[in-house]
Amino acid sequence: MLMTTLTLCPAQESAPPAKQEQAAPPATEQGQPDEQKQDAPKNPRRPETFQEALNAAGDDGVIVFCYGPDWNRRSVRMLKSLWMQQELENVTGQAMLVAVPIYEYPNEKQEAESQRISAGMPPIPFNVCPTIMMLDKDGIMYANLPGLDFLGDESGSTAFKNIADKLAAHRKMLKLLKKASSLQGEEKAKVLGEIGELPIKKPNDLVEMLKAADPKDSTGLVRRNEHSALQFLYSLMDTKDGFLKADFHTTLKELMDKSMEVINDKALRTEDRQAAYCLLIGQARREEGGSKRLKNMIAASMKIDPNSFYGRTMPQLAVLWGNERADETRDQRRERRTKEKEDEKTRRQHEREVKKTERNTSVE
Amino acid sequence: MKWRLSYVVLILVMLVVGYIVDPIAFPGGDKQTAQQTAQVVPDDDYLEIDIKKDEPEPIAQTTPEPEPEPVVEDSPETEEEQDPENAEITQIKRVLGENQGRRPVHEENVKGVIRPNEWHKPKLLERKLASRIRTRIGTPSRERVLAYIREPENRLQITQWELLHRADLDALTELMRDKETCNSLAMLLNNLPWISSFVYDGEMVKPEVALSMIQQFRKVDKNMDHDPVFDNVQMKPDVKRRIAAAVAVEFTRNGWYGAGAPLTKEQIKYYKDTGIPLPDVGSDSGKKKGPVKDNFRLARERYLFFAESWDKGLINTSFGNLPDWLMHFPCGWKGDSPFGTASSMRWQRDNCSAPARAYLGMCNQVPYLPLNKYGDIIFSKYYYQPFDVLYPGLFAKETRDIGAVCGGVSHFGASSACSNGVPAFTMTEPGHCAYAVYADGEWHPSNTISEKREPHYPTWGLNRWSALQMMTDMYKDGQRTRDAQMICSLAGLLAQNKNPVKALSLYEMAVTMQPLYNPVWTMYLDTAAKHLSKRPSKYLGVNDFICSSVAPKHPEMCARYLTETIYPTLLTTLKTGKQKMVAFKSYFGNLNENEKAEWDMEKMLNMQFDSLGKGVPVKLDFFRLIADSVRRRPAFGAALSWAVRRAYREQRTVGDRVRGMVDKLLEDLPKDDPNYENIQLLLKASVIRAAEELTALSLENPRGNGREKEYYLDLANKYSKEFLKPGENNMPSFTPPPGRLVSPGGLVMLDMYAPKQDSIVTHAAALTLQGGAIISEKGKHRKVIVELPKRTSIGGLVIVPSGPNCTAYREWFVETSQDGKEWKLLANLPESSENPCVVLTVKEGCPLARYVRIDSGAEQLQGINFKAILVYDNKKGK
Repeated sequence: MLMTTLTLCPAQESAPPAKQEQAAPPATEQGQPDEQKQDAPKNPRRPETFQEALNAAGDDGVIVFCYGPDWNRRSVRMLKSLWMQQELENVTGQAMLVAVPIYEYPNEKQEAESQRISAGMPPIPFNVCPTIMMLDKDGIMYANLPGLDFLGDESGSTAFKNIADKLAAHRKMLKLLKKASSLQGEEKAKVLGEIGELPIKKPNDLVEMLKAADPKDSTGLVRRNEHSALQFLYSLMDTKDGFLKADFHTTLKELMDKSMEVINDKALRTEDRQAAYCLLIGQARREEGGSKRLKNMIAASMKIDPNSFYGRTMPQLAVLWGNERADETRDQRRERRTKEKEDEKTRRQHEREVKKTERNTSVE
Repeated sequence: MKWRLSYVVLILVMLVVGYIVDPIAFPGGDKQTAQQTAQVVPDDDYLEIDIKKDEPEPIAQTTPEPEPEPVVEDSPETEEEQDPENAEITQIKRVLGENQGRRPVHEENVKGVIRPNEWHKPKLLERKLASRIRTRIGTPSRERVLAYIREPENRLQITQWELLHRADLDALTELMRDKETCNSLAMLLNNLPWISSFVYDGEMVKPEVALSMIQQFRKVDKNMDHDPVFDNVQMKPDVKRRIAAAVAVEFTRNGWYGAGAPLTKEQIKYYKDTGIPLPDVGSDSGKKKGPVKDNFRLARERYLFFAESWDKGLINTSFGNLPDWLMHFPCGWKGDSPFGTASSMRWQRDNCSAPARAYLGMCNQVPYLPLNKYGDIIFSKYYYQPFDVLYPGLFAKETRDIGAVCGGVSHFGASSACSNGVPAFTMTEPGHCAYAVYADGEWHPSNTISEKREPHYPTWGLNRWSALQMMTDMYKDGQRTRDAQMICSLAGLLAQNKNPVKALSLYEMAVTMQPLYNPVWTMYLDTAAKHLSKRPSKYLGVNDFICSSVAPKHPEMCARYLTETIYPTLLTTLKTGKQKMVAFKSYFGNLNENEKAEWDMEKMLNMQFDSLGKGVPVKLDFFRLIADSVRRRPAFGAALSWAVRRAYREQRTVGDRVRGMVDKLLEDLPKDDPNYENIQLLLKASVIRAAEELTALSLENPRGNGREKEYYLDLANKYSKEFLKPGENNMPSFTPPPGRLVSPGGLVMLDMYAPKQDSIVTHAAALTLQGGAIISEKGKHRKVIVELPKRTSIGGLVIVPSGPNCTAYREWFVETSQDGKEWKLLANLPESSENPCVVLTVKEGCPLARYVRIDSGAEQLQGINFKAILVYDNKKGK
C-alpha cells in the first residue's frame, strides 16, 4: 500500500526526527484518507512500490512522481492536482505510475517507507521536488521533468502535455529501433538518425550503432550525433582539463580553417554549426573589435537559424559588439599602444635570454 | 554655610554608593580587594559574580517570549479534516500549533505598553524610558536585575530604549511625524517578540532606515499581520513580520537600497500581473505618472518574494520555524548580486527545490567552464553578455545553462537554498569560492577545498568561520543569550548615565551569563579600560574567565579576544614574565584536545613571546609551555613549528634547549594511545615543516643559529624516510640525465603551503626515485625550492608533475642559485605534455648551485603539484 503524507511538518532545528515523528501524518494512499483507501479498489496502474511497477511495466515503462511530504507544500498539492488526476492516466498509456516521497528529516518509519517505495530506482537528479521521472521498462531514465520549467503550474496542464510528448517520443524510439533491426546499411542509419532527433535522452550506444550501420558516414549521421560543440572548442584550444587559452594564444587565422569546416558541414545540427561561428565571432571581437568581418560573421551565423539558441542572441550581439572599438577613447588607445610597445620590447629581451639558455639545455 | 554642608554630605553619599570602588570579581581576581570593597559598599550595591566553571549561570526565570511552537501531536481527525478543501489548512494548523493557544497579534503586546502617540516624539520617549528603567531598577543588585528582566514589560522597555539609543533620533522623528506611519510602526514596536528579534537577532544599524523600509513593506502588503492562508485563525501571523524585520535589518546593514533606481518595464509588469499595487513610495518626482523612483526597491522585492512564497506555500515549510537569527540568512541573501534579484530567486524556488541537505550538491548542476562558447574567459564582461537577452533577470538559470567557475557554482548552490528558505551563504577560501548550508542543526560546507574559510556573511563584523560557529552556538542557547543581551542594554543605559561602575557590574553579569556574546565583551572591556583600575589581578581574572569559557570550543575567537582586547592592557599591567606566563598558561590549559587549529595562531604566539622581555629562563618557560601543549594537543602542532623558527632567532642556549624539548617531545610519544599513529604523524609533520620553514628563513636571515638548521634538517630527513612507502606513487618511466642523482637528503620549501592537500611527510621522498607529493597553493609565481645537500654542478633534472592539471602547466620555468638569493634561469619548461614527466639535460656550462627553484609562472588551474623533483649532477659514468 502506497504511503503518502499530506501533513506539512516544519523541520525543527533541534532533534528534528523526534518532532517529525510526532507530526507523522495519517497514512493515505496517493492522497486519499486511510478509511477510503481500504475500501477503494486497488488501481493496477498505480502500484505501491517502484519495484512492483517495474515488474509490471510494459513498453510504456514507469513514470515516477517525486514529492516532499514533510517540507514541500507545493509538491503535496500537485500530488492531488496533477498526479491523482484521471487525465494523467489517460495521457500515459499503459505506463505504471508511482509516487515516491522524499523526506527532509524522516523518522525511522518514514525512512523505511521511503526506502521500500524507491528500492531499485535510479537516483533522482539533485533531489529536486516536484520532479517527474520517466523510465523505460528496464528502469533506465529517458526523460526527466524537474521543477516548474517542465511541469508548469500546479494545475498540471503543462505537465500532461510534456509527459504525453515525451512518452510519444519514447514510443517512437522503440518503433524506430525495431524497424532499424530489420534494415542494413544506410537505410538502417537513416532510421537510427531519426532517433537522434527525438526530444528524449538517446540510447547510449546510438553512435556505435550508427557507426556499424554506416562505417564511412556517408549519411553524415555519425558526425551529426557524435559532434559536441564543447569538445570541438576544447580541441581547438589544445587542452584537456577545461583550462582554455583562447584569450592568450589563439588567433582568428588559426581558428578559421577548422571552424569553417564545421560551419559548412550541413550534416551537423544548426546549433553546432552556429557554436563554431561563436568561436570565430568571439575571436574576431578580441582581435578586431567591431570590424566589418565581425558584423558579417554575426549576420552569417544568424542566417543559419535565426530561431535557435544562438540565433536569438545574434541581433543583440550585432549591437553590442558591432561597435566595440568605439568604447576606447583616443587617450586610452594611445596608452594601450605605448604599453603594447613596451610589452613587445620586454618580450624580445626575454626571448633573447631564453635562446641563450636554450643553447645550453635540452628539454625532453 | 548650609549649601557647603549639603555639598559635603553629597560627596560622602557618592563615596558610599560606590562611585570609586572597583567591583570586578572574576575568579582569580583580587579577593582581598573584593573584601575591602564589600566593607565599604552596601551589600545591595555590589555585584559579586560567583562564577563556577562547572555550573552554568542560572537563567532568569523570565516569561518566555513566544517562540515558534513545537510541532503538535496528531489530534484525532475532525469533521473539518475530512473535508478535502480544508484538509491542508487543517494539517497546517495542527503542525503550526493552533492548539497551543497562540494569542492574536494585539494580545502579544504586554502590559504597560507605550501609547502609539508617544512614538511621535522619539527623543522624549528615549529620555522617558531611560528614566523609567533607572527608577524601577534602582540599585542594580544581581537579584534585582534578574527579577527586573523577568517581567515582559521591563524587557519591552529595555528593548525599546536600546532601539532608540541606536537610532538617529532626528531621522526617526521625521519618520514618525506621519501619524499613520507612527501608529502602524508603534504596533510593531510595542510587540515584545518582534522588537526584541528586530533589535537583537541581527546586526541592527540605522534602525530608523530599517523601520522606514518596513513601513514601505506594509504599504505594499496590507496583510503583513494577517496570513491569508490562516486568515481566520491568525496562525503564525508573525512569519511575515519576522521576514520584514530580517529583510530590513540585513538590507540596511549592507546598504542594499537600490536608491533612486527607476523600475524597469518588467518590474512594473510584474506588479501589475501579480496584483501587487505599484509602489508609490519613495518617488522623488512627486507625480503619480511617469517612471517610479523607488529608494527601497531591492528590499521590498525581497520582502515580497518571501511573503508571497510563504503565503502560497512555495518554500520549504521549515522556513516558518527557523529561529529569527537564521531567518536573516535567506532574507539577507546577496541583495546586490544578480543571484539575489526577485526573478532569479523565483526561478530557483520553482526549479531547485530540495530537502535542506540536498543543497550541498545542488551546485553540481552548473558546468565548470572557464571559457564560454565565444572563447571569452569568465572574468571578462563578455562571458555572459551574449546570452543575457535570453535570460532577462534569470541569472541563476543563465549560470546553469552557460557555466561558471567556483564563484558562480557556489553562488548557485547557496542561492538555491536561500531561495527556498534554507539558510546558506557563500565564502572565500584561498583561491576559491565555496558555500555552506544549514541542515540538521549545523552548518555544512560544500564545494570546499580548504578549511581557511571566510564567510561572506559577516558575524560581528568578522568574516571568520570560527565567529560564525560561535554565533551559532550562542543562539542555540537562546534564552540565556537574550537575557545577556537585555542586561547588556541595561549596562549601556547606566554607562550613558555616567554610572560606569554599575555599568561594569552589569556587563560582567552579561558576560558571565553568555560568554559567547561577542559585542558585550567589546563594550565591557572598553568601559573597563576607561574606568577599571589597572590592578593586574583584575585583568588576570578576566583573562582566566575568557580562556575557560571560550577557548575550549572556540580557540581562534578566544585568541582574538585576548590579542585585541585583553593583552594590550593586561600585558602592560603585569610586570614580570612569570606573571605573564600565568596568563598564557590559562589559554593553553583550556584548549580542547579535539579542536583543530586551522587558523593562524602566530599573531598571538608572537605577542605573548615578545611581551616576555629578554630573560632566557622565562623564554624557555614559554617554549616549554608550547611543547607541553603540543604534547597534549597534537592538533596544535603549528605552534611547535613556530617555536622552532622563533628559537632560531634567539640566543644559542635557547636554541639548544628548544631542540632538547623537541627531542623529548618526540621520544615521549604516547605509544599506548589509540591515536598514536595520527599523533606522531602530526608532530613529525610539524617538525618537517619547521625544518622547511627554517631553511627558508635562513635564506632571508643567514645570521641565525646555524646548528638549528642542520639539526632540524636531519630530523626532517629521518622522519621523511619513515613515511616512505615504495611503489605507491606510480612513477612514470624515464631516461634520466647522465649524471648522478644528488637530490636525496635535500629539503623542499614552498612559498605557500596547501595545508589540506599537502602531505609534508612525503616531501623528502619526492626528491628520491620513489616519489612523494608536493602540493602548492594556487596563485601566480608559486615557488617550490629544493635545497640540495651540498653545492653541485647541475647536469640535469627530472620533474614529475602530478594532479589533475599536470599536463597543462604553462609559462613555468626552472632557476638555480648558489645562495638562495640570486637566481639564474636554467630553462623554460614546455607547456602541455602527453607524458607528465619533464627530463632536462644541461649540455654545456652546468651551473654550480645549492638551490633549484621551480616557478609556476602563470597561475595554474590548481597550483603546481609534483610527484618528484630529481636533481642530477654533471659527473657522467657513475
